[in-house]
Amino acid sequence: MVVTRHPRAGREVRAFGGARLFRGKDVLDIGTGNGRLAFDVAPYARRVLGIDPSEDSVRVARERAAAEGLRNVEFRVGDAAALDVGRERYDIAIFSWSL
Amino acid sequence: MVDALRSAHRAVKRGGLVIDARPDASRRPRVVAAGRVRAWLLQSSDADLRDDRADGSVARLVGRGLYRVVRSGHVWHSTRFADLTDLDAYLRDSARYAAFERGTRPRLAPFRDGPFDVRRAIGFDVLERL
Repeated sequence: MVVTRHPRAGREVRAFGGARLFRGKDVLDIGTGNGRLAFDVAPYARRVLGIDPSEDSVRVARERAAAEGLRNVEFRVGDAAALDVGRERYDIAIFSWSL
Repeated sequence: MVDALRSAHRAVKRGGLVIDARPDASRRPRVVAAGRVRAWLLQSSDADLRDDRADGSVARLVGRGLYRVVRSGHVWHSTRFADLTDLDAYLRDSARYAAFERGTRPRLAPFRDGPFDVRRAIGFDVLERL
């Protein structure tokens, strides 16, 4: 049995700057996959938008967000090279294993 | 990749940050069994090429004044595999890792029932959006 293939992103988030960096920020997680990193940033951030080209991954991430009752995390299907965020501007964007 | 960085540049406020984090193959991914490093993994040539292109894209846009590197670092990740069959299957399916370094897989045989931990470095650059 595999214990995990996708380690939690907590160590990465702390290495990037942790709570001090993300607290109160609007964060864009580009190539979010199943939201691995977005979920670890969410406790600090004001808002997290995860974008991924895979509809399946986005569905899984949305289901987890709903199950955990997270209100500051949103997931959308989209292309990193043509981000469709309208007039929204973010404080931080993360390419996590996606560039 | 340049397009993705340009797109992020449009989406992030001036003075905001863009973080690029990826496995860092210059720090060899290693396989730990029974508490010691027993083997190492090789990245595929495709992954090497993608990393080179990504590095080049970052350097290009830094050179064009869209970003400034404010900090770099790395963190180690550990991923657990149940046994050697499981690890072999992962290597067959992985888009990033291609094989064991020559001569190192046999060192895992005495521990074939696992578990194994693959430890790999994730390098990151924190870029300021100018």
